[in-house]
Amino acid sequence: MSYAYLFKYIIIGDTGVGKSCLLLQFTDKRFQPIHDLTIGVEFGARMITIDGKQIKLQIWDTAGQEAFRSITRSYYRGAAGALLVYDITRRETFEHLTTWLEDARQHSNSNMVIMLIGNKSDLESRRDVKKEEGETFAREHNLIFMETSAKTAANVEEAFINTAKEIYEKIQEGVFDINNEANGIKIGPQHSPTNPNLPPGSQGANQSGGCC
Amino acid sequence: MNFFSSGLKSVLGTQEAAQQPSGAETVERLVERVLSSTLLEDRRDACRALKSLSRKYRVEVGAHGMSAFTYVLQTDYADCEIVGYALDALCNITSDEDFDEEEWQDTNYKPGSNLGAQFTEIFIKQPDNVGLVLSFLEEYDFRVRWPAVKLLKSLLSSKPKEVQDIVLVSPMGVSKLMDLLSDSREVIRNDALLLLLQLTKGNANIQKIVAFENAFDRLFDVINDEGYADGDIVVEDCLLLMLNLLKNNVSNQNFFKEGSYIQRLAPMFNILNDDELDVGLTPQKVSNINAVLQIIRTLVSPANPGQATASCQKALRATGIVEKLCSILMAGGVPVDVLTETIITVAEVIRGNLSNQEYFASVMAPSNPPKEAIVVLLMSMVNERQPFFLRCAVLYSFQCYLYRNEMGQTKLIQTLLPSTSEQPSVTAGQLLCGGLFSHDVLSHWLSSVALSHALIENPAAKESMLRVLLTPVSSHTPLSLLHHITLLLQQSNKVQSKLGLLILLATWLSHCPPAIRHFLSIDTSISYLTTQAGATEHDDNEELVQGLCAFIMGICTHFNDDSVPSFSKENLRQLINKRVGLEVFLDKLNEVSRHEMYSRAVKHPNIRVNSPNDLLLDHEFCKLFKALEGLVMKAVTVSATDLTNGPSENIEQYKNLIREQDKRITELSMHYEALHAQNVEQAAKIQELTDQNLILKAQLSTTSAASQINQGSPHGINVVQEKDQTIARLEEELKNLRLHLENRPLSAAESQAVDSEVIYLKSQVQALQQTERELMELRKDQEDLLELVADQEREIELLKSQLRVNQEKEEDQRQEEICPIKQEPFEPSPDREEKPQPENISEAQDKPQMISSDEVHPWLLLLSKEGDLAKDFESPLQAEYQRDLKSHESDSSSPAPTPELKFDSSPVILPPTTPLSTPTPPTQISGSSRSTPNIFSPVPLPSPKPPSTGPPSPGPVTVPLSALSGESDAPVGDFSNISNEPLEVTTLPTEPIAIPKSSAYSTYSWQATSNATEPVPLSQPNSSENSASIHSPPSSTISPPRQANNQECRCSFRSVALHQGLADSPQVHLHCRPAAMKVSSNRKKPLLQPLSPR
Ligand SMILES: Nc1nc2c(ncn2[C@@H]2O[C@H](COP(=O)(O)OP(=O)(O)OP(=O)(O)O)[C@@H](O)[C@H]2O)c(=O)[nH]1
Ligand SMILES: [Mg+2]
Repeated sequence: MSYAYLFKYIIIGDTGVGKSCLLLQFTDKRFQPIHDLTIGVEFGARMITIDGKQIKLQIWDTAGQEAFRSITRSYYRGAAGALLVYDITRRETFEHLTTWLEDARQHSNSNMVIMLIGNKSDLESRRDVKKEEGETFAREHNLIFMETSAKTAANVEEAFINTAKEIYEKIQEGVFDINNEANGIKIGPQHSPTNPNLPPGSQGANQSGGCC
Repeated sequence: MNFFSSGLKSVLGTQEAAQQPSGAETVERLVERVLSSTLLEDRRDACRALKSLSRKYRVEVGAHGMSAFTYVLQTDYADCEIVGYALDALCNITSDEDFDEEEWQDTNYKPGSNLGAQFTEIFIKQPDNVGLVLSFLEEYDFRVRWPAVKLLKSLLSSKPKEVQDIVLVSPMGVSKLMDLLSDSREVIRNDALLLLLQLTKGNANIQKIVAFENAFDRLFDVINDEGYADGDIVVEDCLLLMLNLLKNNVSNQNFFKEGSYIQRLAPMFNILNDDELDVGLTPQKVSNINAVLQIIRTLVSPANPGQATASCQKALRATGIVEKLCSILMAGGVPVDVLTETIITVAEVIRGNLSNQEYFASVMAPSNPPKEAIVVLLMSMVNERQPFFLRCAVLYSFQCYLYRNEMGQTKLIQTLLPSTSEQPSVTAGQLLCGGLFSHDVLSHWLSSVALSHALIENPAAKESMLRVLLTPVSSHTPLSLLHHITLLLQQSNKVQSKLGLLILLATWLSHCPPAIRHFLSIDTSISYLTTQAGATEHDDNEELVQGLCAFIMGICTHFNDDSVPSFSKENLRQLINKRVGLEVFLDKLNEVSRHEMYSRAVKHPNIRVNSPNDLLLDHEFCKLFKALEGLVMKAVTVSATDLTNGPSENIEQYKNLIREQDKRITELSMHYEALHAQNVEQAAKIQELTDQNLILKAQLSTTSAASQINQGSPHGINVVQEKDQTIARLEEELKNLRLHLENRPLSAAESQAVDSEVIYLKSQVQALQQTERELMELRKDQEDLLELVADQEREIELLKSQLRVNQEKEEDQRQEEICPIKQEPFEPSPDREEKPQPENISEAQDKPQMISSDEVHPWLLLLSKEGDLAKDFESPLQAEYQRDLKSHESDSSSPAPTPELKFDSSPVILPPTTPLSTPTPPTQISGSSRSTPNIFSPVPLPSPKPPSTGPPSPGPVTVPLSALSGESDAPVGDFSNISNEPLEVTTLPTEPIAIPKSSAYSTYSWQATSNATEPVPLSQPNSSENSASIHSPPSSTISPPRQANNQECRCSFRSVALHQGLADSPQVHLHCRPAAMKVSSNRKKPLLQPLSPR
């Protein structure tokens, strides 16, 4: 249950690119073939280990539909990492990346780590965006890049974990101000010297358990 | 006012007081000053003056000043003072309260005309205005930040939904509000809490953002600072905000659990220390605890996805909260509403979670000797003096304990069977059986339903409960529990009792052919059901009784294994057709699912009724009914061999009905969609029109007021008329303009509005999709039904032809002999009993019955013959048949004993199966309870009814609840004067009742015992010292939950037990807690001291 760090992620990108599926694959190791349109935002969480340290990932999966854009913007500021997803079988989702990136850069804190993900790599036959194009875009905009498949789970773990590694490194370098919760990072209860998590006397207190 | 006039002076300069300007004029002048003055000083003064006028001349300031205030907010944002005035004034104008000093006479408005909402509407029409106010939250200056918070609060309470939507899409709107929770100035922090409470109410999107913004951390920090449960109302506000964030929001619940916040709730339960037990909890603490309980219930609500609830249940156990909750259950001094809520919370925390259920079963009450908490709780459930809601809560906790808990179910039934190991003095099973025989109608219902939950989805339990025998002492014929239930059912004249018993019966018999076999072999069981199901008239709620009787007949038909020849599947079908009539039968079934209480009970497992009278149906039973309704109908109609075309007509009717309904559903859903679209459109139009109208009215009111003053009233009327025309013209213009607008491309601001509209519509669409899905399901069901009907028809055809063949044969046979009409007494045949049941019951029984003529039972022959005569209603044969049935009925009902148990002043009277003289009561028994029952009748206490007058019934036998109740130190119920007779368990021979595995029969001998010589009326405690320290009689001591915040109402299991013990018997032994122990040793004086409020 206890963790060294807690990172907040958001997953963004056009509707239908597979954001919810990626999250579900990561948290529950399942694939959901039916498009269950996300309304607003959904939450998921999982523990990972980096460098021998337990890290809790709290992930907010946002709705890709235009109508929810103003709602999902509220989540940029408090996130430490973002997975920006497009669908390799639908070129327009790739073309919208610049808009997404602008939005993200505008509303998030400048240190937010962004991972670019080309999803549905299992649909090679219907590929519409070359892998090189994704790589080029990522390089130009200083993002990490990966192609994944929420269906086969290929690279899904890696996408989430590599993002966490990047954040972890930034913390080690002192780039992140870990005491500012608005950055989407929290230090685990037992790791912070000043955490008032347990009230004084909560343990020894009079909990006579019915033998009164 | 002083401030006002001095303010005016400084703004307007010194003016001769001779001609006092009207409020409206003053406001207008001030507004102009704000808008036009170049000096900040001037604007500030004018703004301050407007603020001070904004209560008294609210209409005027609102109508004219709005633009001035927004102008100030936009241009003078750097000056904290003037911004503060503007925000304050806006806050007054938009407030949803009326102010005392408000002046109405010059306006068209009356108090209560909801001015605040109207001005709010105007203000938020410009969404930027709200953004502007939000931006002032970032200003640290108290003069700005506080009024900004208050203004938002005011806007939210006037137009919650609209303001929520605006804040939701304002960049960082929610984050700014969240930051306020860390403000060191308590006023601001507390107001921010209230603001967030309003903001998060019913809006899942905002709830999620607030949670994302670390709301739970901040709230727990505040709660920690304020001292957890001991904190003041701020703690309650924090908890209520958490509740808002979690309620119906699975995403946030998941976040709450994943963020390890559940463990941060634990310290909330360190609520009881010894001092408080005596003094009582403060009302605030009670509210705080209730709020935490609500939070926990939200996390484990049965309505949540099963997986989510399960993981929260696990977490609650891991953090020790389950233990803490259980210790509250068994602690003293807990107010009854908290106790009730705690029981319900425990119920939902353990529901369906085996490990939590096992823990619950292991909890012991601190009594001497220790009793299981479950037993103590059940004691209060069957105690009619406990508050109704508490009793319901106990039933719920018991149901949740047994829910998907095969072991728990088995364990419960084990307590009713003979065992080699030593049993505790009182067991749950005994208490519930006692409840069945109690004189208290509610106890019947609660106990029956509780017992039914021991059987749900547990075939083994159903069979082993068949082996439970109960008998009055030294009776020669011990009766099975099932037999007792059947008799109780027939003797009861209370709908509630009957329903409870029927629920138990239905649950027991469903999917259990052995139980049906046993039930059918009980005399009068079927004839009773037939009479009920066939009745044409009914009182209130009796339709439910009749419907349930029909349902049970159907169950007996569907799950029948044809082992009771006189009531084989086919015979029962015939019986239903002939005696009840198929149509009536189906009608009765339909009445159940149409009943209001059915739709209420089926929704939620928790018992949600307002009064004891509403306690009719049980959630799990409704689920069973829903599941079996179709099968039952099929079983009954499948081979209606009647040769008249009645049944097929029926089927045709139903088919048509279904077709019609289908058509109607499609029609209605289309209609609904159209209407909905229309509605949305019109709402938007109306909105616009009212806005315009409002502005115009406000203008009109001020101008007309002004003109009246200046020019006298007759002229004023003209002016008003003129204005009216102007308004009409303006409205016309507006309409045109709107038309224009509609054709014009959307501006940026508008598109934003449209955006939010789209979001709203999206969710609407989701809701619609949901309904559509439901519709699809319905339609599928209907299709299935149609198929079924078609099947049935085919079968009917088949059977008809067979019958025709049969009949021809019968014709031949009739020449030779006439069949006897006689129900054979049921003789148990061991061979048949040992016969293993088919593995798949439904498969075995759904097969149409092929009847060849030599297999046909005499009854069937008669009935089919009767079919020929059906047109002639008065046919002698039929009359004879009916007479026969009647005589049969009365015959079989005559030996039926009429058990009645008196529960409360300890003796249980199980009447007449044996002569009165037979049992010699144990020595400690005083004679009263053993003697004739009428000794109880003049007593104001609920007294037992005299035994019913079954013809050859021997005298009454009183049976104590000793076996049921055990010792008198129970902290809960009123069992104080019950003696501690050990159970007598005997093994009976197979002889009288045909139940398999005869060697395992168990018998309880309930002997007449009582310590009380005379029941004492409750309202007159028998010693004055005692009554002095009792604040009120128990019935009024306990008020229903929610109202019982005051200390007067403090009451616990223990206090009630103590109290009632006193009332009933001087020999009270209390071992529940040290204080009480002291009491019992020195009973005279300080007995109730620990309970009296200080
Ligand atoms: N073949 C394949 N299909 C996928 C993959 N990921 C997602 N899908 C499918 O794509 C569709 C949309 O997936 P979602 O995860 O619901 O899309 P989303 O990005 O969450 O969409 P919004 O919630 O509207 O923003 C679903 O039908 C998925 O089954 C993948 O890796 N391979
Ligand atoms: Mg999604």
